[in-house]
Formats: sequence, C-alpha cells, structure tokens
Amino acid sequence: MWNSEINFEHVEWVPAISISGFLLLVVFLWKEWKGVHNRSFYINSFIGFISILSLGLLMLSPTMMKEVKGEAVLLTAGYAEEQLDSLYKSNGRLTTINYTPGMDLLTQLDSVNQLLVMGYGIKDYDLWQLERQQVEFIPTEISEGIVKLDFTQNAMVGEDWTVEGLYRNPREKTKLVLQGPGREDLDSVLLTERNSQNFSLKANLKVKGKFVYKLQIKDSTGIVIENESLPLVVEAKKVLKILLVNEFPSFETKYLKNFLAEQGHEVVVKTKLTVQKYKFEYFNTDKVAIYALNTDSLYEFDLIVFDDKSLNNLSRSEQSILAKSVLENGMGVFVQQTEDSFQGKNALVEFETIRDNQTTLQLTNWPKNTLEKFPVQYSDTGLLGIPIGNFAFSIKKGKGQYGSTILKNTYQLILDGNESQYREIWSRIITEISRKSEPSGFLKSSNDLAYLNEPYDFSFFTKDSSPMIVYKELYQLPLIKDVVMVDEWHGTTYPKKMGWHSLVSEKDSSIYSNFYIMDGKEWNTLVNARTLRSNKRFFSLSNSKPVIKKIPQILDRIWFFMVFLLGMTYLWLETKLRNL
Amino acid sequence: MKEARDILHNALAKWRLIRISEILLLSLALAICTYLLFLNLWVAVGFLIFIFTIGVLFIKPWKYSLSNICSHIDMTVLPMEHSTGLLLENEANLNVLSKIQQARISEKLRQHKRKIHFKNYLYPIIGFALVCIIAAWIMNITGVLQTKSGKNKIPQSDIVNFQVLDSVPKEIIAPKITEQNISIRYPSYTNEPVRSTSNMNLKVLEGSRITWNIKFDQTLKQALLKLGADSLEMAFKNDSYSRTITADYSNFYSIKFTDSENHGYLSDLFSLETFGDEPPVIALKGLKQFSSFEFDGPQQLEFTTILDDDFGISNAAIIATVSKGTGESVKFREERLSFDTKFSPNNKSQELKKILNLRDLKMEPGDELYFYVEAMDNKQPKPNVSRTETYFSVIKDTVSDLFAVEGSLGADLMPDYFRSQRQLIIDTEKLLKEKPSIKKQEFNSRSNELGFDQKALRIKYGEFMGDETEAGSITMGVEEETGDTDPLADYTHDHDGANEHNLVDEEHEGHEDEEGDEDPLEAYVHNHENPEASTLFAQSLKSKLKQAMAEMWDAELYLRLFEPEKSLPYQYKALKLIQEIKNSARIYVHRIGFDPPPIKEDKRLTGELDEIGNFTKNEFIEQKELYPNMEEALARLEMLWITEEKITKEDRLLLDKAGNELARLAIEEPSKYLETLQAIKWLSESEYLDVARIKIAIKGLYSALPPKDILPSAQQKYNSELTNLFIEALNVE
Repeated sequence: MWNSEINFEHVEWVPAISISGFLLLVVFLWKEWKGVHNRSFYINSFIGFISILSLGLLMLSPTMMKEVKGEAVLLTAGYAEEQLDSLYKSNGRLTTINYTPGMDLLTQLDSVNQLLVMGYGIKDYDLWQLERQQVEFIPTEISEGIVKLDFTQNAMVGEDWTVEGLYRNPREKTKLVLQGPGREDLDSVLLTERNSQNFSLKANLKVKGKFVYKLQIKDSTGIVIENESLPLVVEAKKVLKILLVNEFPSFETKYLKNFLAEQGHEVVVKTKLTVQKYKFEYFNTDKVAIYALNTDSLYEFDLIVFDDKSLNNLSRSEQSILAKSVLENGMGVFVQQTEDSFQGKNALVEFETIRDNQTTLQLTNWPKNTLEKFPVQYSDTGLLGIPIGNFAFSIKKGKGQYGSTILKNTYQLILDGNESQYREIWSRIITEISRKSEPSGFLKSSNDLAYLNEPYDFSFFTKDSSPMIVYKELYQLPLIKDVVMVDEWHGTTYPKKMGWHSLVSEKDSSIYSNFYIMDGKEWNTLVNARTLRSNKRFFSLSNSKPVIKKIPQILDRIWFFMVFLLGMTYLWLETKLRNL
Repeated sequence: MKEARDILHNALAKWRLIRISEILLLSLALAICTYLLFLNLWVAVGFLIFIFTIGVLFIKPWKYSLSNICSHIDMTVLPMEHSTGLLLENEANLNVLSKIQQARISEKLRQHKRKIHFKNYLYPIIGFALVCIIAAWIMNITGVLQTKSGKNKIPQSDIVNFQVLDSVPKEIIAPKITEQNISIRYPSYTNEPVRSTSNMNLKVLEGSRITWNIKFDQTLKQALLKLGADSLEMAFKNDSYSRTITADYSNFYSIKFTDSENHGYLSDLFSLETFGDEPPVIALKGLKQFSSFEFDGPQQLEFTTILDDDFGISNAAIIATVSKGTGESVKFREERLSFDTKFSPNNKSQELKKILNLRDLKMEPGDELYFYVEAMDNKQPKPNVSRTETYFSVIKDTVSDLFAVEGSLGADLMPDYFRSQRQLIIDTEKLLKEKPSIKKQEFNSRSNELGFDQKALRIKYGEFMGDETEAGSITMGVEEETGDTDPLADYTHDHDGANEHNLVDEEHEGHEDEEGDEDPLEAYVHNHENPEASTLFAQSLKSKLKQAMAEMWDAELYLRLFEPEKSLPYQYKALKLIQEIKNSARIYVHRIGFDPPPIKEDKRLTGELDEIGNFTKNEFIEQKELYPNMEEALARLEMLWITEEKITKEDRLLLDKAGNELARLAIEEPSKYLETLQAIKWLSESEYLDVARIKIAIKGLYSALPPKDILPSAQQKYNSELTNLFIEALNVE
C-alpha cells in the first residue's frame, strides 16, 4: 500500500491518529452539514479533510528514502601512505576508517556509497559486512616472505611429513629450517632464487602425539627472523584384518604374511595344499574356519588377497558375495598375479594393461634398485582407476577397491636386505586398497592456522539428525545445518586460550578434532597473503556497478503545519466573509 | 794483619750462615709438617717461603758487621784484651802503641781463631723439627686430623651437585655431603687391593663389590641409591649412609635423599661402567706356521710363548695332535704337553720356552703334528680361555715318491717349477708389461725360461698323445737340460692336462717305467705298429691335441727368439684347444644321467588323501616396539611444555620408565644421551616442572628414537552424501 520510499517515523501511532482524524472529520462534516448540498459544503469539507490530514502527518512525521552520496577509505594493514595522500589530494571529502579485525563496519558505512579499501584487505570473517557495498580495492602486494603454505595437520607414524610453500623475494642466503620436538633441526633449505622459490621440507614422523613443529626463517648470518608454529597430530597405525587365499604356497605370500603379522595386523592365510586340503594360518587372531566365502565371514575383513587362480576358482555365488561386499561394504580385494595372465579376464575385475616387454622397473623413491616385473603396464584411463605409484593400480567399485601390481617376486627385496623398500611398496598398496572404515561423523575445518580470539569455523558431517559438538569438554557449540547438503553442519567457536583445543561429537567420542590456537603474530606474512587473495577474489566477484544507497529522511514538518494553518485560516475566514 | 781480617770476615760469614740456617731449618720443618698435615705441596712451599721471609726480616743477618764480630770476640775470647776492634782500624791512623797492640792482637786472633764460637740454636731447632715432623707423620698415617681436612677434602671435580625436587623456600639450608668415599673390592681372584675413591663416576671390573659411604652435614630422613630402575635404600651406620652392591653390568645411578623437612634432592647422574676380564693374550715366537723335517735329520721345534693377562694366568699348555696314516686309515692321538720353563700361576705376564722333539711324540715319517697353545686366566667361576692358531709340522715321507702337497697338509705348498698353459700366458704378459723396466739380458733370460716351460708342457701332452718318435726325442731333450728322465713328474699338478679328472687311466706311465724305452701305450694300442692309431682319445680329440701341440711349438719358438709378444697368440690358441679337449671329456660324464619318466598330469594329486587333514596354525606375534615408554613420554612432555598442565604421578612413572629405556642407549653412547637422561631422571623425581629440562628431554628423546618406516594401517574415511552420489554416478557410467 505504502510506497516503499515513504514511511513514518512514528508508525506505531498510525491507527490512533487515523481513527481520531476520522472522528474529527465526521464531527466536522456533521457540524458543516446544513441540509443543503451546496458548493461551499464541498469546498469546506475538502479543506477540512486536508487540514486534518496535515495535522495527522504533522504528528506522524513521514520519512522519505533519499540517496546517500558519501566516500570513505578503509585502511587495513599494509596500506601505502603515499597512495592515501594522493587520494586525499584528489578528493578532500574522504572520510577515513581504520580497520581493526572484527569491528562493526555496517554503521560506519551507512552514509557511504563509495568505499575504498587499502592494504592487504579485511579478514575473511568480516567480508560479509561489505557484501552490499560498492568497494574499490587498492591492494598492497606482499614484498617478502612465505606467501603460500601447505601441510597436513593429521598424519600417521612413519610417514614422511612434508611442508611445502612458496617464498617470495627471498634475500640472499635466507634459510628455512624445520624443527621438530624440542627444537631439533630436522630439515632445512637454502633459498637461492631471486624472485620466488618453492620449498619443500620433510620429516620422518617417529612418535604419535600432538606436537608443534616450528619453521624458522634465518637470514644469511644465521639470525632467526621468524619462528612460526606448525601444529601436527600424529596418529599411530591401526590394525587391519586381512585374509590371504592362495591356490598353492608361494614365497610372495609367505613374506607378505610375515610382514603383516609382524606389524600386528590380524592375518588369516588359507593356502591350498592338495585337493580339498588347506593350510590355515591365523596370526594375531582367533581361529575361525574359512572354507567358503559368505557374507558374514567376509564382513570382518578389510582386505582379501587372492592369487589370480584362486579368484578364478571361486564359485559363482562366492563371486557375487565378494562383489557385493566390495561394492557395498567397501572391502578391498588385491589380486596377486602368479604368472603373466594380465590379459586373461576374471569375473570380478579387469585391469587394462598393455605389453611393454620391459621386465624391470625402478621406483621413483628408490631409483637405485631395480625390481622384477611382468612385461606389462597399466593403461586404464577410466575415472575409477587410481594408479599407486608406477607399480600398482586400483579400480574403485562402489565403496571398495580392487587392486593389483605388476611387480613380481618382491620378497627378493627382503632377501637383498632392502626391507624399507619392501615395506613402502606393500604399505602403499595395502593402505590404498583396504577398506576405509566409515565413521559416523567427520569434523573438518578450513582454518589450518587458528588464532586467539578469532572465529574458528568448522564443518561437521554426519547423518545424525540432531548432532552435538562439545568444545574442550566444556560446553556445547550451536550448529547450523547447511542449506544444500543434507549431512553438513556448520559451527564457529572463539578460542580464548592458546594451545591445543578439541572438538568432540557428543554422541560418539571417537569423532574428534584437535586444533592448535596460536598467537595472532604468527605467520603474519602468510595470513596477509591469504587475506589479500581472498579480498581480491571477493571484491572482483562483488557488484562493481555503483550501488544506489538510500537512507530514510524526515520530511520537514513546517509544510504540514503551514497547510493546516492555511486550511484553518480559510475555514475561519470563509464563515466571516459569508456572514458579511 | 790481613790474615786477622780474613778471620774476622770468615767469622762474620759463618755467623750469618748459622742464623740463616736456623731460620731455614725452622721453616723447612714447619713446611714439612704442613705438607704432611694437608698433603698439598703448594701450600707447603708457600708456607716455607712465608716463614723464611718472616724469619730473615726479623733477624736481619745483613745488619751484622765486623764491629759486631769484634765486640763478640772481645766478649767471648778473653785473651783478646778487648782490642779486637783495633784490627779494623787503618794502620796509618794509629799511634805506635796501638800499632803494637794491633800486631799482638792479630797474632792472638790467629792463635785463638778456633775459640771463636757463636751461640746458636741449631741443635734445639733440629730436635724441634724432628719432633714436629715425626708428630705430623704420625698424625698423617693415623689419620687423626683427616676427619676434618685431609683425605675428606673432596676434590672439586668430585663434588656432587644436588637439585631440589620441589619448590623450597630459599632460606632452608640444603644438606651437603661432607664426606664421600666409594670403596671398590675387585673379585677375590684378581688379588687386587681394595680401592677407594671420591669420584662418583666409576669404572670397575665385572663382579666387583662397590660400597658407597656418604656422610651429610645434616640428618636425613632417607637416602636412596637409584641404580637404573631400582631404588636401593642406603643404610645409616657410623654417621654415614652406605650401600653395597655387586656390579654385574654397566648402568647409571644417582643419589636421592629426603631431608628432615621432607624436601627431596636428587644428584646428577653418574655412570657405573663395568668392563670384563680380558682373555689371556698369547704370542708365539720363533715358529713358522708350517714346518717339515727330514726323517734322518733333527726333528726339533723350539719356540717361546709370551703370555699376558690383566689379572693373572692360571694355566697354560700345548695341545698337540698327531695324525698317522692317510685316507680312511687315518688315526689321531692327542696329547697335552707342558712347557719346559716352570709355569707359575697367577702371574700377569710370563715367558715360557719349549723344545718339542717330534721323536718323543713317537712320530714316524709321513705323520703330521698339529698343535696350539692354550691359556686360561684366573677368572672365576668360569675362566677365560684363549688359544693360538694351529701350527703344523710334518716328517717327510721317504717312501711315497709323490710330493705330498695339497690335501694332506691343508695347505698347497706346490712349487712353481711347472707352469700350466694359463700360467705361461700370465707370465708372458707380465714379462711384456715389465719389459721397459728390466734389462734386456734379464728379459731374454726370462723369455728363454718361459720357452723351456712351454716345452715341458708340450712334452707332458705329448705323453698322452703317445707319439713315439716325438716322445722319445723330447725325453732326450729334457735329459740334456736337466739330467732327469722326467723332471716334471714330481711337480706336476696337472690342471691343463686333458687327464685332469683322471678320466683316462694314467697307468701307462707305470708301463713306461717298467719297460724302459718301449712304447708307453703298448697295452692300450690295438695297432702296435702305428702310434697314430692309439685309442686313448677319440679321433677328433687326438687331432685337436696335435693341433694344440703344434701351437705350443710355435709359442716356444718365439719365446726362444725373445719375442714373447709374437708367442702370445699361439699360447692363447693352445689354451683354447686344451680347454675344448677338457670340455669334450666332461660332456661324456654328463651323458650318464638320470632321466626321470615324464609326469602324467592327469594323475597328479589324485592319490588317497583320507588320512591327510588340514593344517592349522595359530600364532600371536608380540609387537616389537623398541621404546614404547620413550615415545609416550615424548608426547606427554610436549604437552607439558606447551600447556600449563601439572606433572602427575603417572607422568613421573612414565618418565622413569622412559629413562630406563634411554639408559640402555646411554650406556653405549654416554656422551650423546647423558644430559637427556639426567633431565628425564630429574623430571621423574621432581614435584615441579622446569622448562629448560623439558626442552632438553624432548630434544634428546626425539633424537634417540629411531626413524620409522611407513606401515600399512587401517584408515577412516567419511563418505558424504555428495561423494556417494558422485560414486554412484561414476558406477553407472
């Protein structure tokens, strides 16, 4: 009804004033009514109406939207003083706002329709405040330091943990040192390139636990310029349950089984000795007779290793059970090639290979050792195929995977004393192919570096309809369901203490996430570079057309008063003149 | 006159000397006393210099003058008539009477010069010095004063530092060690005296008994000796805490005590290193590893054995084994012989002689003697035994004309008189290589020698060929050279010969011997008239051998012409042919093999299996975690470092266990891990946390842990709805 441009300052009085105005008008009309429909009655009625209306409006004080025209500059960290000076020169009416993270920008920007942001930009969590603002971003580029960083915060014992990044404009002989627990130097790199240099630092993870590694930047004289934290949670390996089925005893299986059993995995080996006679070996697990494959017996295993012959000898029903187990339960099946039968098909899976007539292979990590292989190589180009190094291949089927390798007689590595290489080959294959157990939920955060008194955003994936997350065993955090994804929930917390913090699902304490809160000064350059990138992205996406920004302004009430006064004057004069 | 003055001067010098001697004696006596009491040379020397200086300054011997002497003489020597002073006066200044008196006095002084005596205290001082020194010496050996200073003065390096384990108010005075004494009693067999030391880092023989005696200046509630993982309470007796243990292996220890107010203190970590008793070292002198004797000559072996051991040798003997006969009829006889020199047990070093007469061992020609020397030390309960390597000795057999080389003696002592074709090639090549560096004459001579060897080899093969005319002529040729029918027969170890493996009976040689110049192959030859038809070898072999001999001819020719380089190709050809001949012989052996019947695949694995069951094996393999506590402690320390958590009892227990694991490493490399171990021990005992120590502990533990390989592990992966949809879509495709 109302034009959106017009509103009243005292909207709440509208009904009362309307009713009283109406009553006043009725009284007025009744008083004016002289039983004759003459011209003056109409004129007076109209004038009276106008006067009452004016009186009403005088009390309601109507407002009207008006376009604002104001310019301001928002100064964030790293802005250039000279640029600001020249801006002032060209536009003297600029208002200046100094940005502090987390500040309320909306009120300050009420009367501003043109905003300039200078410096590295504003924090990600403040960007929403500028969503409806026309902004011109004048970025300051990072001159020197680590501008990109990539490292995982969760790793397994034994892994080679890598920290990669990009250092911009290193000074001569700047050195990066990765320090482990107790500030023990683990790896270092000397920056030699002039403009930008990618670096990669490596450390073997020896111990499980929560650690804070450090990345030190040292100048050419060895003085530490920066000392930044790299939080890391190292987890111990978990036990797998593996079944090995062989048509005949082989050295490959013997060594593989010993390797797995020594690592504490639960291993069951079924080897055919002769017709209908088998050798069953159980390592680290109780005896369970396994004759034919059925859904129950398969359910327990994370991985089944078949040689190609025993896989082909499975009955049709066993094959379908196995296929179903892979598809729905995510079980892994590894096919041991006993001879060069890669071209031969089997009912469950087919690895596409091409002959290359090469019988030896070198692994990328171990260029010195030559391994024996079948004269083929994998050629699968499908979306479901995943190569494991250059020696093995896996194919995803549903939730599970099938895998195989072109290497043969890998046990020779152990006999030659290259146990490390043997371990790496089989660890990669087995870890990749075996079943990934599915937890009931999963916590994830996009903040790899979390700071004191800054929001820490996280996502919680779960199929539960009312999930709950407890922060540091102290209090529950509110969660918001994602708009699109059914199983995604979002939450935010504001850590007030430095050190390790945890988020735990209240319903399943096995789902947790540890994060380390550091001092706001750490990783300054990196944080600035990231802010700069996200600001650039945000402001380039946001509306570049000038936004017409309007704010309501009260209409001058003198006009209503004047109309009312004129109306009254006329009505008073009109009677006087008529009686003359 | 002059003489009298000299007397006076001498007297002055004597007087001064006496005085100085008195001071010196006195100060020396006091210095010796000081030394005996404090056992410190520098203090004693300082004291000596000090007393002497004071004495000299007090007595001032330089102030004594001749006039003093004169008045002294006047006083003590009556005949001088109080006129000695005149002697000092200048004669020219005196009146006549005085001159006369001066002359008289001078005369008298000469007469009475022996009467000039100085009162001195030399004897009393010597007596006093002796008394003092003896008293000090007695005090020194009886140790009367030592409880307060002497031996209990703990050397600076041995002072034990204690760290307070809990936060103690500053004003409390921590107990201090006033006396520490560790006595080490080596095992009785070593006959070593009891040693005592104040150094807490010990290095002792395995099995030694160690007693700690520690005295504190305050009474304590409890004192513990923390040895590795054990806490041993120290008994309080005679005002000191003591504990005795037997050191069986290397370890670390520290001392922990609680004072009367229940504050705990922990000392630094000390090493208790043990070393084993070394086995005796035996050295044999004057003996070759192999020796051989003629039957009719002297058969004596003379040698000296030097034995050394760290704590004494209890027994030494020669173990001799005589072997008689050969092959299957071999017999052994073992004897234990003593040395000629008398062996005295428990000596650390001895030199023993022995003359070994083989005849005494009843050895006959062809017998062999193996012997070695064995020595045992006095270690108990199980002595260390060491022995030398075995020495061989043989009495040459005169009956067997075979040179008893390889096989019988365990070492190939074949002389290099005879060269095989391969050896000839090697030698020729060596000669060519050395050509620039040797004289022409020598080169020619060596080339000629090689030519001779080449000839000898050819003759040998010629025998196999049975070439009558050739064989005869060669034998004659050899005769010319050596005067022997078959110079090589004794020395031949025929590797190159076609008959190396005795494929062909060599009996024909015997025939040759018996029948003199007759054809040696007579018995085997069908056609007696034609040596070409000998059936020793197949025709092809025969021709090959002939060819080889022809090559040898040429090789010899060039060697004789001093052109070994030209000879080489022929030698190679000959070698190749000889190899072929050998190989063809081998093929013959190969043919006598076993040909298994072919396997019928359809019958395979179809036997009766009723009695065969399944095989089941169940095994639980224990996880071989090397340092589980160290790993756990590291993670825990990291948390304690970062967070403000308090150290708990469990933490301390964990650290204690981790410390014990690290101690195993530290024993091997103390310099690397000792600081860490000390920090961990401290943390495991302490009530409060010390950041610096935590840092040391973390760093040390981390570097001590071995790197780990990546291993297969179960993983978790949450599949979100989106992922599931994606996978489904992919599978449909």
